[in-house]
Amino acid sequence: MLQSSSLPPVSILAPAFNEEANVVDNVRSLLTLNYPFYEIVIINDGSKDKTLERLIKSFNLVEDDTLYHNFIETQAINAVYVSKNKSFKNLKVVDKINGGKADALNAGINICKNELICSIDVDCILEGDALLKMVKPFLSGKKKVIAAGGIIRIANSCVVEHGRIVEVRLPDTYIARAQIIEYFRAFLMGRMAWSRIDGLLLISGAFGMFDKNAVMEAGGYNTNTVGEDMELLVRMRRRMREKGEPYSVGFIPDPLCWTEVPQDWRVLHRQRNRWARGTAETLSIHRKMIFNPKYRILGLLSTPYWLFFEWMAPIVEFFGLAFFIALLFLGQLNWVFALSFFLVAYCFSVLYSITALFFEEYSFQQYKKTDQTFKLIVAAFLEPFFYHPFVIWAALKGNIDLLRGRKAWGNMVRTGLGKQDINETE
Amino acid sequence: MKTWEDSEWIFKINAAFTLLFFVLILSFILTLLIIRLYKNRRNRLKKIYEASAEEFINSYLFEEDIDRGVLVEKYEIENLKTNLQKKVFLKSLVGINENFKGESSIALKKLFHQLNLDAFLLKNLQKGDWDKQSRAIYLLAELSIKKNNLVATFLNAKRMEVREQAIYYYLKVSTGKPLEFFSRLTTDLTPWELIYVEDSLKYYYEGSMPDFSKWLDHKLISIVIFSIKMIAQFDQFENIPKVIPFVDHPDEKVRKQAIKTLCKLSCHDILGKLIDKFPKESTVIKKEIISAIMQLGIRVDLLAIKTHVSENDWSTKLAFERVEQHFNKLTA
Repeated sequence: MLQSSSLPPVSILAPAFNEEANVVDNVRSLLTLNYPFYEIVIINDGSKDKTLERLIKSFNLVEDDTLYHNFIETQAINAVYVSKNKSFKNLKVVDKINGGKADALNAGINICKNELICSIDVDCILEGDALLKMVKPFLSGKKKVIAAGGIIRIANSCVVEHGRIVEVRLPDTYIARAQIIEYFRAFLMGRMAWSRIDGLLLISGAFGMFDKNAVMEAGGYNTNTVGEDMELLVRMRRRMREKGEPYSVGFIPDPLCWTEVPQDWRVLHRQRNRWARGTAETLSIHRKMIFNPKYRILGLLSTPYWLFFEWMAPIVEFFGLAFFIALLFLGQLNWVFALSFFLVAYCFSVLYSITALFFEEYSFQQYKKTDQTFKLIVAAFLEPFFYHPFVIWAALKGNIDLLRGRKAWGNMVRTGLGKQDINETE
Repeated sequence: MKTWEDSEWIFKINAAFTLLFFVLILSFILTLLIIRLYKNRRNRLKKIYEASAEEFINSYLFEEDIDRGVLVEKYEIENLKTNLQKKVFLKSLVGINENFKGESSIALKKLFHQLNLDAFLLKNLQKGDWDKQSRAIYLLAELSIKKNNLVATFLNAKRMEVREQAIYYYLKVSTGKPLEFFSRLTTDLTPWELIYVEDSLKYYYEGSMPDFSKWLDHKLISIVIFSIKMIAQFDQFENIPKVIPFVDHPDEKVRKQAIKTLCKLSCHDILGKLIDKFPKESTVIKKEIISAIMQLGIRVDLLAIKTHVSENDWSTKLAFERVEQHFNKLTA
């Protein structure tokens, strides 16, 4: 199929903000993707470092005069660059005033030329055939497909050569291993199950493909939320439902994209804080959908699930813990009951993680060595004691920050895969 | 100390669930480890079987002083006892077959029958799960084993993977009528499947290309669109008069493909008709007509539609301005 001249062309949109350390390598990696027709649109979102200069120098860029129209309003665009070198003819760099990730993606949508757009984090590593696999749902359904996502994997400690993962390794840190378990649960169980009943509400911002017209009709990414990826999909689905147009959202049950996760508690806290705010904002914007039978699965299952189990869970857990401490101080605690309940909750939590591990082992088995499996099992047993309380606290703090009006997205300053930890700055 | 009978009901429920979850955790861990051991062992065996199969096939093909009948019988009894052995052998056979033509290829097909592997594949086809069925069809195609009527039933299978392999089979095995299976289709093919057909025609089919105008009146719209597209892909200029009426087809996708095909075949005569149609067309077709003007026309043709490009239709307006910029550059 990869030789076919009939595959639809794809525009890859990758916003970059202060990415001078890795942007050139990352673009080189994107240029080697195995797909017949694609353009790469790097949107330099007002970087304060030398991101643009490095791109111009490395890829021999010159200003381009191709006409475009601001279908979606964005911050001003300074210039659009293309390469003089024919080897990079599918590369376009957009330089614009800083407006955040959502604004950068909107600028990319305005400028890109293809009907299918693929939004990615510039530092992600895509599998060679990722685009082909992602395009498939758009060409295979009887109904119109408005978006598709795939499984995201954790690349920390993996061996990367020429922009490709050549050996999958388990990270050395507990925090990254706990996130591997968490990603298994989210992608191999959660999203896979939601996609089966067409109830997906989130396609990861790290790698997702969209029908450009459907995105533009929905108004593009929302620049007023930090959860722009989830909000866009919910808005697109809501709009399609309200129009009464049959549609679907695809999900590819294959690992297609590898990303770097935080290996520092402080950075993880900021990330989860932002995710919590994004969830709350999206649910608030689309509160009309919750329990609304008009939206079918989305109204009766997906949004209530996100309300109770994603947004409210940290709050309920926190108040449960506070109540436990209050009873402890008042001497009213029934220890037998408390301990037995703790054991039920703990065993259930571990069971959930082990089931996800089982699915991974049964299907993909990316971690080939037996000792890696044992390490992941240990991580699953420890997670409820160390990792889970921390992310709960970060999510709670996110809700508090939201009430206090904090809107910052946070800049990711990465040192690159196979190097050191990532840092996040506000 | 309270006994179990004296304990509160809530404690009993908690204890029961704890025990249940704990047992499930242990069971999953155990299963997980068993799967790991099973897969490791299977991978080791695969390597051994592969080596054995390749050695046997080489002996069968190239050694002269051997009794092939005895060799085959002995190999079947000793080395093709399990499904995994048969599966690995077939994979090796197909791999080797790809590198041979003529007598060696015929000998390999003979070997396939001698080892009764046809029975194994047919069993998978009739009773297997979808993955076994699609693999079996693929192997039949690769080895050019003619089972047209049997494979025909899979052209309308529920699983796309099975349908794809059935299409591939027809194109690979056919010597003169690669698209004969179109007549057996009952539902539209998806764009993905049509790309698959097109690819197989280009890269795997070895006979002469059919006249695609045969399917222009097919009952399935996807086949009509495909045929119009293939007329352009394979430069069948003689079919231009048959394609022109499709520019007025009620289905937008058919009209779009007809315009694309006529452009590709450099049918300049169509331009006047397209310009006349422009004001009444949808945005998608308007953009296609603008693209056709860029390929077939001149600046004057573009100006002929200018008044019909709405100020509010940004998408058409942008396409128009881009082509205008293109013509400006040409004349500059």
